[in-house]
Amino acid sequence: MKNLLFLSSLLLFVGCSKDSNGPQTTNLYIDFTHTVNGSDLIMYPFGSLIGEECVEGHHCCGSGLNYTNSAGDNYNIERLWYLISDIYLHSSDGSSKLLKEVHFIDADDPSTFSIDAGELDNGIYSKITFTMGLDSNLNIDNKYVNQSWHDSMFWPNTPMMGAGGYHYMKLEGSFDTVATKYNAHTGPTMAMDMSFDKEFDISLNVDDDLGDVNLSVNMEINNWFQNPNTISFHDFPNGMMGSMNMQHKFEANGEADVFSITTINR
Amino acid sequence: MIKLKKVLYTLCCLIFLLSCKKDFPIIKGCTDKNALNYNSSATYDDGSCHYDTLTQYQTTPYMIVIPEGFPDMDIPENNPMTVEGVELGKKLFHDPILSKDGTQSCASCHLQSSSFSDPNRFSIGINGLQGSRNASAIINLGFTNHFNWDGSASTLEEQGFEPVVNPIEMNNTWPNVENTLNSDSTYKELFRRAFNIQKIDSTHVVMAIAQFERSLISVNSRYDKYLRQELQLTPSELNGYVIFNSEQGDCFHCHGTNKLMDNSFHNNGLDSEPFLDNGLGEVTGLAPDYGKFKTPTLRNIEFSAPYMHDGRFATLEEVVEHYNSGGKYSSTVDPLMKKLGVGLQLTNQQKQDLIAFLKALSDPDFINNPDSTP
Repeated sequence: MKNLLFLSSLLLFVGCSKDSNGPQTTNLYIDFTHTVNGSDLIMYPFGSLIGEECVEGHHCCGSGLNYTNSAGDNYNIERLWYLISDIYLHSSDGSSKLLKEVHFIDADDPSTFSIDAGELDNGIYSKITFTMGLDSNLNIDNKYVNQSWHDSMFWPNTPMMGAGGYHYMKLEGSFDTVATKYNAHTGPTMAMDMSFDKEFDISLNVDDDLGDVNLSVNMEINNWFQNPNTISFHDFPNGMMGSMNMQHKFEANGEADVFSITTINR
Repeated sequence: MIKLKKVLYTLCCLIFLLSCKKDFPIIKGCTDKNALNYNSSATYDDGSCHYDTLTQYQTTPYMIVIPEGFPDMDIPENNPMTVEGVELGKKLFHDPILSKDGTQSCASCHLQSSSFSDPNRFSIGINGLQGSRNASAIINLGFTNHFNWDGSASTLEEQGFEPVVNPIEMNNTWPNVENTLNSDSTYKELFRRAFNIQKIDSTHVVMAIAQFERSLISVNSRYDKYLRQELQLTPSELNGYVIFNSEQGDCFHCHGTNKLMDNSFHNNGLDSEPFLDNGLGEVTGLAPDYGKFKTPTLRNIEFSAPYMHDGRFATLEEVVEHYNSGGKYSSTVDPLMKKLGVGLQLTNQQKQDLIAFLKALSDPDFINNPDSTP
């Protein structure tokens, strides 16, 4: 009888051990999303434009321009590449952890939409910070020559222009008509560091029960063209890489409210 | 009478013997000096050669110095660069043995004097047939991972399989190539020394050629010397450099970095739809890729005329004029072509300056390098 009791206790114990989840680890993922006027970005070409009904004038897609900015320009987005750097997670105790030095995002390539930032220690995390673009410490000619995005983000360095390094962002597409192109390229014009830092308060209490967490960084693309500066594509028909004025305007707008952040516990 | 018979008999025997001598110069055996059973008297190789398969030849690593501003070379793990492999690849590249009738080599359409491209708009294959694209230059290809104008190959090894069997190029078959090479004792020895293989196969043929192609590095133009602060560019070249590297000429977005190409595909406004050649779209089957072609490097562009995927422009002046007039709209035209229909609007002097800079990208040492010929 005693043996039976012991066996039953043992079975109960083993059973309990099996059912218990124990402490969960928390992995952090940083995701990047893109919206225009709050809706998910839809890039041009929107689909198969080259078909029997779509060769002339793109009847299937109307004008081919699906967005309007605050300057009243109708436009589309054909390419969006950008660099986010110095991504840090800060603890409430004042310590911080570098999650990634530089991350390249291609809005047309989902494989670039997320960073696996690894496992987080238990604790309270209160802030995330990052830089849009590369500051002058990182933005050096050929520093990232072995990165896949080196060729795409190269920013030329000629003696007269005194630039060099990499673009921060290449936003390209059409405005007014699908045949009128714009290139909104931000970067270190005349060797001036035009990158800017963003800081977001978060409330992330990592404990044994939390599980994985996604921090989602959203870029609201239309906000590049408003607040505080209303920017029209007509302001830079020949590009803006050499224009300090346009670079400053984009920097100010970007710093204001282009980026936002949400936390998701999954 | 008996005497006459004897004489006749002897004469017949002699004639028979002499004729026999004529018919018996063939001595079967192994004719490969490197074989264990080499027969110096043998005049016909009967395939009996056998080798010391335990002997592993030591290869000598081929050292590549990565030029300043270039990425690490993406060399497949199973095809490391060796001195023996590069030498073998060079020999194969220049040998018409790969073509069906033994008349054309890779070098027939990829001339070193033209930066290993074809000065003819379209290359003509062994049957007199021609394609619809210009043979690309072979220069610094070890630093890229898309090959052919339409990106149909993602490694040099993969690319190497195509021309041999293409009906409008060498029009051969790989089994035929393998048989031909395997009956050539010199090649058998070279393949053994490069790859330690007893039997030559297509895989090792393209591996050797790929090694040779990776060795074709050009970084000694006036522009390179300028970057290394070994010389000063002329005022005209410098003006061209600024036009090239600013949004005025806007060449750098596709032809930037030290490689002078972005390892990508673009539709640069050559044609309206429907395209005569869908380029990348032909390979991917995706409509947004129609009309896009691989960006060529501008290094040695002076030597690699004619220009564009179809060689439509004979001179650099015509190329610059294309961009200066703006190009044509199509649904896949690159947004970097932001002056469509308007053009760059460069002055004649600016156009000359731009071309002066393009010619500063020429590396005569590369096209005259004796190490690139067998």
